[in-house]
Amino acid sequence: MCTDSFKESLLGYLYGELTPDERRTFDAHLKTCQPCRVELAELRGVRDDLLAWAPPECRDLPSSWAVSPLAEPAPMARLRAWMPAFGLAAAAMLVLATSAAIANIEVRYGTEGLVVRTGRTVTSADAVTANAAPASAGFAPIGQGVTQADLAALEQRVMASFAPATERSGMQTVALTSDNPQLSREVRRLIEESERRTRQEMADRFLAIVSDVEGHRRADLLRVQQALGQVQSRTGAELAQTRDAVNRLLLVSQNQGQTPQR
Amino acid sequence: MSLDLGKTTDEELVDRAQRGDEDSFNELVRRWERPIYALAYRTLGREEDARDVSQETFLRAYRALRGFKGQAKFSSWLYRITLNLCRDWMRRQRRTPVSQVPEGMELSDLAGEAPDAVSVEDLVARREMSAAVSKVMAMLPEEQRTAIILKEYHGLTFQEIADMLGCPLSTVKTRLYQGLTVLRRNLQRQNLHVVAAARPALET
Repeated sequence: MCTDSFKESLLGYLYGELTPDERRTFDAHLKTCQPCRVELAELRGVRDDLLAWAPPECRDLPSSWAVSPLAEPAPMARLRAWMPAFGLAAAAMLVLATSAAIANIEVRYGTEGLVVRTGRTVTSADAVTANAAPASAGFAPIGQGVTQADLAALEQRVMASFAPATERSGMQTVALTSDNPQLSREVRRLIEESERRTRQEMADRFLAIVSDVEGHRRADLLRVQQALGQVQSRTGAELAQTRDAVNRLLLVSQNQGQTPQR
Repeated sequence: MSLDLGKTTDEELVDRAQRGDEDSFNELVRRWERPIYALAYRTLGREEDARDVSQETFLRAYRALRGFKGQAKFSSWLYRITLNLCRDWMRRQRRTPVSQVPEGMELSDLAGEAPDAVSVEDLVARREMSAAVSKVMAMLPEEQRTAIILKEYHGLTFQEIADMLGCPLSTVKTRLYQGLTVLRRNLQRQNLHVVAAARPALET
């Protein structure tokens, strides 16, 4: 092996802490020195091995204290800390459900062309009967050659089967075909209007939720701060008590040590 | 708070925390809790002790923050607190660091740490290697172990380690060199079976 100074250089080389000049010098030395090359390779191997040592994931890092103030029972505090998030999720579901109900758009593409419906359904049973009729009526003739007359008859049947449901629910049914640009414009307008309403509604609700969450958060933070303050003063008092007790114990034991026991 | 805490330097955060800004201190905690926990874990070798020490580190840092004048980097200051606490803890317990494969450690955890690892064999090999390293590190004398932990896992320079441990630069290098040499010998001994089984898996 080489001199101590080369050993030091080797360590610096290994960890990349040599100046460019020192590095060049050591590079030159490495070319001529087999033992140093071996040493370097082995130490690099050790460093690679060391990489495998990872600490386990810690589940209770200090920053998680914010949700578990020491003065209160941890589970309750944690639960409360989760409440805003839970509330948010529930509210989001509500918004989705509401928007779906508001929009209530149904788009289907079948033998009768593109069908777009918008409006409110009164009962699901109505919708089912309304849907079932065109489906069974519409798909059967596809295999055989379909004539214009068939289609016309089919359309009448479809309209007829829709009629009762439409009357009762105020649903608007629009048949959309390529040669009917006015209707398609109308449909697009309806859809856009519905979407705009939905977006507006969602924005309003989210604003309400955000301010609600913010309020919760502030209240929680305040409570956490108070709790921490209590803990700090309480630990201080306990420490003083413990110190006194230890002092007394020391005194007693010293006294006992001085007076002969037997 | 309109300021983006994530982009603020440690020094700025310390400055603001010293003037009573709790958010800034919390950001420092979030930034450094994992390195501090890792340092404590590798020094003490046990999860719950490492957790206690890292919590105590931040409590002490919080209390002593006004006394921190920026002589060193904030992280170095934290590291020093942690190392002192670890030393106290080991003295109190009168024992050397334990080496244990953490009980709660699942293969899925390891998978999380090694996103590139593909096969179960790979994960097992890593786990065995991790256990082997933990074992040989626990066998090192304290000064060598500390120097190696600071260098290998926290990337401190020789000079930073010297400043932190309050010893000459040459001493740090000697400890590192001796430590690495001992590790090499013991790893070779330890790993005879691990290497035979694991290395091909690691290298494929």
